Order: sequence, then C-alpha cells, then structure tokens
Amino acid sequence: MRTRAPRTDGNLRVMDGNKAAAWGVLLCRPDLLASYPISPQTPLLEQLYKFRAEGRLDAETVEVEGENSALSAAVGAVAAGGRAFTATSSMGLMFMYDAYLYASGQRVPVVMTVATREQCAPHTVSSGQQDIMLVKEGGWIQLITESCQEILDSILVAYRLAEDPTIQLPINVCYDGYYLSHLSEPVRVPTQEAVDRFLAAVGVGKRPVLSTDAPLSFGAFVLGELYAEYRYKHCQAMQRALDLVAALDGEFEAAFGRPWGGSIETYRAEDAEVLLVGTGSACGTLKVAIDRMRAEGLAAGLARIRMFRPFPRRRLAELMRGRRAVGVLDRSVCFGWNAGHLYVDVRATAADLDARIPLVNFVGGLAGADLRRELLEDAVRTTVARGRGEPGPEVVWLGLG
Amino acid sequence: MAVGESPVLRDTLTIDFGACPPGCRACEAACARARTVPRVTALDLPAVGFHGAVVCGQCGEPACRDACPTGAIVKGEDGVVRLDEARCVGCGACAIACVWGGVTYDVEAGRAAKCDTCDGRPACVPACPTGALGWLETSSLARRFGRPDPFTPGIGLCPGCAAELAIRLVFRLAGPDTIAFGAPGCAVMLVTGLNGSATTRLPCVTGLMTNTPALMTGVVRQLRRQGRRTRCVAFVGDGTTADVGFQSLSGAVERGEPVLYICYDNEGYMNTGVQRSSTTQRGARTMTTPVGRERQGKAQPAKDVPLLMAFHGAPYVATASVAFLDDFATKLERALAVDDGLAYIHLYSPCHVGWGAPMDSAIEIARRAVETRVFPLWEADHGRLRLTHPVPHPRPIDDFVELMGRFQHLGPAERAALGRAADERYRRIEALGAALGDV
Amino acid sequence: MAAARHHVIVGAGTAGLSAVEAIRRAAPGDAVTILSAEPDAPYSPTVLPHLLAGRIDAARVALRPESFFAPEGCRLRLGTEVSALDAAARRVRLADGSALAYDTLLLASGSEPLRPALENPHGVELLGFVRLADLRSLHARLGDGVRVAVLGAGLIGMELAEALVHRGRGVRVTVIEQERQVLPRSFDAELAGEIAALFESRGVTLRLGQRATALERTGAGVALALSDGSAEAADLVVACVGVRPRAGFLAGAGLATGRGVLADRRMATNLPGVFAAGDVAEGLGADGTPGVHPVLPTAAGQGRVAGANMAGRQVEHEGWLPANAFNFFGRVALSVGATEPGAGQDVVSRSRDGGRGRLVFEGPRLAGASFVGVAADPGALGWLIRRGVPAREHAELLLAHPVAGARWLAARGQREAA
Repeated sequence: MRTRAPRTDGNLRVMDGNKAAAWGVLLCRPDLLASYPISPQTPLLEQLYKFRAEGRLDAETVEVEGENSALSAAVGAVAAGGRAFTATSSMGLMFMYDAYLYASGQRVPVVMTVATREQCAPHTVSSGQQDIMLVKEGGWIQLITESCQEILDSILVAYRLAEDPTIQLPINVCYDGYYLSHLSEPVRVPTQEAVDRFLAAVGVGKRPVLSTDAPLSFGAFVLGELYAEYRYKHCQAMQRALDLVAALDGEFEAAFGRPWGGSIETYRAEDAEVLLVGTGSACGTLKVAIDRMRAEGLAAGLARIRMFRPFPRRRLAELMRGRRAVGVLDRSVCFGWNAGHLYVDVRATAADLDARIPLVNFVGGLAGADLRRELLEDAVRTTVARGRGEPGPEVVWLGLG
Repeated sequence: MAVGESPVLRDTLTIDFGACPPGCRACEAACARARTVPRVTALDLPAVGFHGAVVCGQCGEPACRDACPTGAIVKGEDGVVRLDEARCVGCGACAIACVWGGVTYDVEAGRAAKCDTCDGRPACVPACPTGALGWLETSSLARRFGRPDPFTPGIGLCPGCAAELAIRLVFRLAGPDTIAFGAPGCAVMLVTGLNGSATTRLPCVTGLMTNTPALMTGVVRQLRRQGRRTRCVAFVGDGTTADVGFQSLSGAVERGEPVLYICYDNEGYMNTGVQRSSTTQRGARTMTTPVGRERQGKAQPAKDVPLLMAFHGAPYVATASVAFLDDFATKLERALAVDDGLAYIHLYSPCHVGWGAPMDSAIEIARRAVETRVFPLWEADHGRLRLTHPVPHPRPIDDFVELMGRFQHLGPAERAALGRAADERYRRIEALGAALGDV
Repeated sequence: MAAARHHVIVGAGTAGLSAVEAIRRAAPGDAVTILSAEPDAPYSPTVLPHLLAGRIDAARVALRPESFFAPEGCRLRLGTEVSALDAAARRVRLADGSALAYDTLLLASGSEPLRPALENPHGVELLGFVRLADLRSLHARLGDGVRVAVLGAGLIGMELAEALVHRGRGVRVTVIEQERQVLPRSFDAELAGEIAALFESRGVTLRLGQRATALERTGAGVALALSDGSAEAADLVVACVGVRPRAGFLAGAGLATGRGVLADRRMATNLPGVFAAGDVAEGLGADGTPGVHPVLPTAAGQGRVAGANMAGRQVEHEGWLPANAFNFFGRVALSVGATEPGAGQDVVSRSRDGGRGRLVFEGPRLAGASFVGVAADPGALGWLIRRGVPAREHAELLLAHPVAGARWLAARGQREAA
C-alpha cells in the first residue's frame, strides 16, 4: 500500500541541491532506498529518511555497511521488480565499482545520484568531477545538471528513461558537490499527480523480473558470441537513449509546463564565432563570462553537455560546425591524454567535421578551486585568439602559476 | 509428482529370511485376521529344515501392476502397491508377473490379494515372536530426498565433488518457491548455468563475490513488499564468505535480512586452482602456501566463521557436513523456518582435487573431520548453542590427515599439534554449549 | 539434454500403455501419441468374460485412470485407425487420410480373431469375443434359454463358456473343438480332462475332436455340421478358434514378419525406429525361440522394454515363457513352461486332496509346471524355470507345497543372485 500523496503545491520552494534531489526521489515513489553516508550527498539521504519518518515516503530502507552493498541492494530490488534509489560520491563510487559494472551489464534500471567530488589522493572532500569521469565507460547513462531545479527534473527523466522497455539501463544523475548540493535556489516542485502522469508506477510484466512464477537466470555466465550480443545490445540501447531523451523532453514540457532541455543546452550559440563546451554548474559562470565578452564584441557561445553518456556526438558536431575555435572546460583530469576528460570527447567529435577547428582545453576548478568569472573570461578570450590563429598550449590549467 | 517419477517407498516390512521358529505361522494368522487371506507367506518347510517368510516388497516398478488388465493395482504416493479388490477379475496375470512371492491368489474369493502394509501398521509384525519380521521406517533423510529435485541430472562439477549432493538436498528442501543465489566459485555454474542453458528450474542469481548478501537484501525486501514469501537461499564458497564478501555478509546479518546463507567450505580458492583462504587449516599445503625449506603450508589457523556469525547475532547458525546429511537436512529445515533474520549454515565440503585425495574420498574425509573433532557439528538456535553430533571419543588425528596429500609434509609433532587444535576447537564449542545451551 | 522426441504408439492395450510408462520414466520430456482403433477408453480384452458374467462393473475396467493420459505431451486418439506405415519418411498414415510423423513407433496393435474355415452359404452371423463391440453384440442377442455354440476350446472359448454358465438364465452352451482335449496349448491331456469334466458337470456340452464344417440357417436357429457327420443346433455361433496378430495395415511397409511382426530382444523390428510388443509381435521366448505369445505379463514386459529402448535406453526382454492361469467355477488351474515332456525331459506328478500337480524336468532343472485344483505360484515357478534352477531334488516339496516350496526355492535363488 502506498501512503497518501505528499502535499506539493507546485509552487516555488527554496532548497539546496540535495533537498531538490530528495524531492525528485520522493515524487518517483521508489520501493527501496539503500544508503551509505558520504559527503557531500549525505543531506540528501537524511532528507529521504525524514520523509520516511514522516510517512511521506513508503519505501524499504536499507542502511548498508558500504557503497558496494548500497548499489547491490538497489540492484536486487530492481531485479525483483521494484524501483530503487541510491546515491553516492567520490570514493564511495569507486568502492561500488564492481557492482556498478554489474548493474549496467545486467541492464538494471536503477537510478543513482552522484554529488560529484574530487578523488583522493591527495585526500580531499572538495568538489570536482573526477569521480564520474572515472566511471564514464561503465555502461551507465550519465546526466550532469547545472541547477537545483534541473536536479529534481533530471531524476524524473532518469526513471522514465531507465525503465523504458527499449532502454533498461541504470542512470546517474550528477550534480556538483557543494556548488549544487549545498547551494539553495528556488525550485518548482511539481505535484504528485503531474509526476504520476509522467512516470507510471513500476509494474510487473513490463520487464523480466526475478520471480518463481517465471524463473530466469539473473547474472548468468556467458561466453563468446553470446557475450558479444550482450555488449552489442547494450550499445544499441545507449544510442536509443539519445533519441528517446529528445522525445521525452516534449512530454516533460507537456507535463510540467517547462522544458527539461535534452542532451545539450546551448547559450548564445546561434551566431557565435567560437563555442565553449562544458558541463555542470561552472557553466553558470561561463554564461556570465560569455555575456561580458559579447559586450566586448567577442561572439562566443556555449554548449553545455547535459547528457554525457551516451555522448551526444552528432548534435555536438553540428554545433561545432563552422566555428572558428572551440574551447572546452574540464573539472577533471584524464591522465593518459594530459587533458580533461570532456576535452578528449570533444576532440574525438571534431573528427566528424570536414574542416579542422582549433581546439583548446581549460582544466580548472579541481578540488573546489574557485573558477572565478575572470578566469573564464580569459578562457573565452583565449578561445577567440586561437580562432584568429594565435598560437598557444593545447591545455591551459586555469589559475595555475 | 512429475511425469515419469515413481513414488518412493517410505516405510517397509523387513524379513530376516530364514529366522522364523519352526511351525510358527503367527504372521499368516495375524494377516488373515486383519485382511482375509494371508498375504505374507510362511515358508514353514520342515522337510528341508527351512523356516522363513516372504511378503510383497512393494516394487518401484511393479510388474504385477503392469500386467493387470483392469488397472486394479496402483502404486500409491506412499510407495505402497495396492490392489483394489473391487476391480480384480481374478485373472491371475499379476501372480504370473510377480516372481517375488508378493501376490496371493485367494481361491475362495476368486481374486488376487496382496500386502498393503495394513496402511502402515502391519498386523504381522507385532505377532512375530522372534522379530524376524520388522517394520522399518525410512530415515527422515530419504523422505527429504524424496522431494522434487529442481536441478537437471549431470551437472558440471569435478567428479567426486560432494557439493552436488549438498546442493540438491538444499534446494529439494527449500522447495519450489525459492530463488537460488550463487557467486563466482566452483559451484556457481551449477546454480546459474552457462550461455543460456540453466541447470535448475528455480530462478537464480549469480552475484559478485563481494555483494551476494546485499543483492539478496534487495531481492528479499522487494519480494516481501509484494507480499511474497519466496525464499532466498545462497550457496557460495568460503572465499566469498570468509574473505572478500565478509563485509556484505556481516551487514546482512546485522540488519537481520530474512535469507538463508550457506557457505560450502572447501578451505580455499579451489576454482582458481587451490590458493589459501582464511578458512584453510593451519599446516595445509596450497599453491600460495607451498612446502619448501623455509615455509611448510599455511602458518595461521582457520577463521572460525560460523562462530563469528553466532556471536554476530544471526538467529540461526549451524555447521554441517556432507558426511552427515541427516544432520544437515535437519539444520536446513530449521534454517528455512527462520524469519527473524539471517540463517547461516557452514557446510564442510572437502575438495579432493585441491586436498590431494582420491576421487571417491570426499565423504570419508568429511566423516573423519567430524570424528577427529577437526570440524565439530553444532548449532546455535536463537542463542542456544549445542553440539548436534558429540564426539566423546575422537579418532586419532592421523585418521584424518592420512587421507590427504595436503598434510603429508607434516611430521608427528605438527600432526599432534593439529590434533590438539582440533580438540581445542571442539572443547570451545562444548564449553559454549554448556554455557549457552539449554539447561 | 537431448531434444524432446515424439513417440507414436499404435494400440492402447497393455503393451502400448506399459511402453508409455517406460518412456515417461526414461524421457519425461518426450511427447507420446497413442492411437487406438477402438472408440472405448483403453481396456484389456481379458475383462470380457468377467463383464459378461457380471463379476465386474463396466465402469471399472479402464486400464489406466484418465489422469494417466492428462500430462502435457501425451495425446490419446481413440477411434483412430492406422492405414499404412511409411518407415522411410517416419510417418504413419491414418484412415482419415492424414499422416502422423514419429521419431519412434511402437506397433502394439494386438490381435484379431481368426475366421474359422467353414461353409456358410446363408451368411449366418458369426460372432467374436475379443472386443467390447463383440460383447455388446452378444449381449444384444442373449435371450433366456438361448443355445450358444462356441467354436474352439482354447482360452477364449473356455472363458466364454464359463462366463455364459455363470451368467445363467437357461443359456445352453456347446463347445466344439477339433483337438481331442480342451485348452490344448495350456495343459496336457490328463489335466485337461479334469477341466473338461468340470465343464460338463456344469452342463456344458463338449464336442472334442470335432470341427464345424458348415453352418445352415434352420428357421430361427442354426445347424452346425460337424466333421464326424453329426450336427449341433444353436441360436448363436461364436468363433473362438484363435487369434492372429493385427498387422494387415502394415502390408508393404517392409517389415519382416513371421507369425507376427518379428522383434529382437530389444523389441526392435527390422525397420529403424520401429518397435513391436504384445500380441502383434513375434518376439523371442526365454529359450530363444521366436513366437507370438499373447498373454498379459508378456505384453506388459515387452511394452516396458520397447518403451525404454524407444526413449534411448538399452534394455532387453528376458523372453516370454508360456504361462496361463485360470479359475473355472472356483477351481484354479495354472501352467508355466513346458506342459508335455520333450526330448530329454521327464515328468513327476502327484494328486493330492483332489488337486493335481505335474512337473516337467530336463535333467535337474525345472522346465514346466502345471497345477489344477490346488493353489500354486506361477511367478515363482516361472522364475525357477527361466533361471534353470536345479529343482529336481525338491520335486516332492514343490508338489506337496506348491506355493511355499516354489517361493522358498525362488527366494533363496534370488538372494544368491543378489
């Protein structure tokens, strides 16, 4: 039995990102919540337990002894036909990595938020995107948000997308630790009725589930060509997700009166000579920097990657086409390429274009280092300069030396 | 009962052939009183000095039944072959078909008659003055094995491995409303099959070595939420249990997840080619504790996981052995009845390949492990701890050690030390039983 | 695991249904189709005299309960005649023109009555006594005081005669047999004489050493001309002169046949995937001689063996052994193995308490046993004969204690064999 629908007036409330995530989860009516504390996502869990204690959230709660078990319990519940939620960050994500691969390989539509954080060592608990970048090839869909509103909205989209019969994949909804998790903003909380219309109850019969009614082997051993078939179908599902988010965006707007936004958000990009590419909350500052540079006559625009995995390669290539230069902002490091992770993807996407475009990578904001407006204005200027043929290093470490 | 399966005879008459007193015939008389003509035949033959009796053996595939033209003979669910006299036309085909003396022809009535065990209370048995006739109730183990086996025949374990025996018993007892959980290890293919071929009709889950109890947590919570009582039963190895998955198990025990977790302990990582685990015994040779000039086998004693689980607060914890299946089955039934937390059974299941022993030795090794006190059989049921198979007079440790190559490097002193350690382990359980058992 | 196969069983008698059971034991997943030419639920013709005599209720003659045919993969098709076998295509053609494919086929179509060779210019109705339909015909014509002529004093004829007497209502019975004794293939002349006397004492007229040569209609009745020139009057004539394998539909299929469909110890015929069991089969006897042996335990045993082999096992039939048991007017009679001594065989016999026993020995070994008017155990005796157990030294014991003696010897031998 479900408890009564929580009281939501559809009005604006002021809340931080963790609380916005908690509201998103509450509205999706999960069956099971598995949790292990880690900063900076802990207040999200606390809020969910508060909902549970108040009787607003009718879910099993499993206070596990570690992140590996948190995700595993969620996977078990979904395998048995339920809807489950868990959340983590940084080292916790690393500690569940075997279960992380298990969840995607088994095509388990679980939703997990990641309050993104820098990795140790050196030890730190500060914000960064290194954690999600390290698991980006784990076969999950990854959404990276920019605002508290988008956190809530993305959780609704994530369950819809994950549980779609043509997708059946786990999804990370990522938001920058502290910058979003602890930032209070006005958030419009939709009514339960509106969410219920958008996201149907999880039901038996929609996907194969563990049950003695119709036995199946979950996690079976597979060799050779059959294994390749698993992988092929997994890749196909990832690609279908790119198309489905575009369609879902229309449904989302119809249900809630505002768009969710799709795989890439653009800002002043239509007439831009140079394009900046970034993810997450730093793009807010980047938009301000672009506005200011526009005032100085530099025609810059922004492509913010909202759906990072699967990577929206075709759409980004279209946005890059004809620009004089592209600058990429990264808050993580890809050691093997001596650059940021997003930059590597953008560089690969550039190969889809007929003409060669100068590319430059800005690495900064690691471990909570402040990406001040001035630094990003410099990044825009540098990108424009590269478009005009000025030489310089491929990777610029913002604020370093 | 599935198509093709024959009912298993549960209880049976026994005859000590030729042990009857001359001229007795008390059994025939008692049978005649209970059932018109006697269906047990006294072979009272003074001319040849023989005095015995024969009676229907309740055949598994009774020829009398197959020959009957009216379907009057039926083998019941209890295994007893019964004749419906109202259907019998007295044609005698059953008497021709039976070569065991199991069918009597009742000349007066013009029809056949046969023993129906007096429906489990044979009148002839108490009438027998010497006990030549007996009534043997099938052991509870055979009754338990009579339940449907959800696994296919011919599953891929090493020849001689006793884990198959154990796993069939476990899931027979668990019943059809069960989900089987495995984790990477020797027995995992048995639980979950390979490349689209399953070995069981049960739903099954292969977890990771690190996360099986947590997976079970999610599954069992969701099932309970749906109002289902489906049992979740894990059958996983000692590496998964004692080492890499220990944390997940500990969490599930502490949270009181209502699942049954069975660790089959073959004292090492046998699937990867015999490396030591934390349950490997001191002195044992493995590939990571080889015997050389400086080191000879494992230097540390085995981690006593079942005792840890008992003190962890699991409501039911037991040790069991593939050599004592009745004891194992009783514990399984108790464990399956637990619903207030995790039930844990630690099953001793020798790996003859990894232990350097002959293919047919697993059961004997397991038996001697108990009888030398190396592996005491006990249970802790909601805090009450007791030895279930006391060994007041242990066999010498050499009886155990000599069966395996893995201890052959040990000298007399080291063997004696092994024996003392086994004794200490046994006495520890015994003392705990005295302190924590029923008084 | 091997893919599920489809086994087709022609005939729903004892042999066919025993085969179904054996297939289920060996290959539970396989599909089985049972084709019965008869419209009735499977029954054994053994029940016919008992139904006629009113000793058993018609509702209690089903060979197997309905649930036997209920499992998934099992199909019983009643009233379905097989018209031909195409072994090359592994198909049987049915009378309705359709075809049915099989992986293995069991011929268990039983037997059909022989037509007596006689002149019948008026087309006098000749009844039979091997099917429920025959029983219905007989029932419809059996008024009080009717005179019935039974052609043949074999097992079927004698059981019919016994049942008619048992039924009563003034029915008068005459049995005409060309041999000079009743039950010529089951008993020696002496024991047969005792049985004959028993029938005569119950009012049955026996015309032994006689053959009906012609039938003529005479007003409401029938006149039977016999081979010695005499005549018998009757109202109904029932032919029980013997049966032959029902194998006409197999003509041209390429099957090796003799008196029946030839089958080896696995009950396999010469055609791949085709087996035969029961009355239609000419299988091997315990002594290795081929022969048709239409009695229930043989049909059951051959069916079991055929079914197991059809399901992929390797099983051999131990060979049939002549064996019969009767109960005529409360007097029991049975015979197992040889009834008359052959070359190198001799007989030990004894009469006791109005009963008679007769043992045939070959050297020390028991080769045959028959008893009339005394209870004996044909199963135990059969085991001793099959195994060639040296029983001569216990001949007196066997004659004095036919049940206990045989059971002791058999049980002792069985324990030694185990």
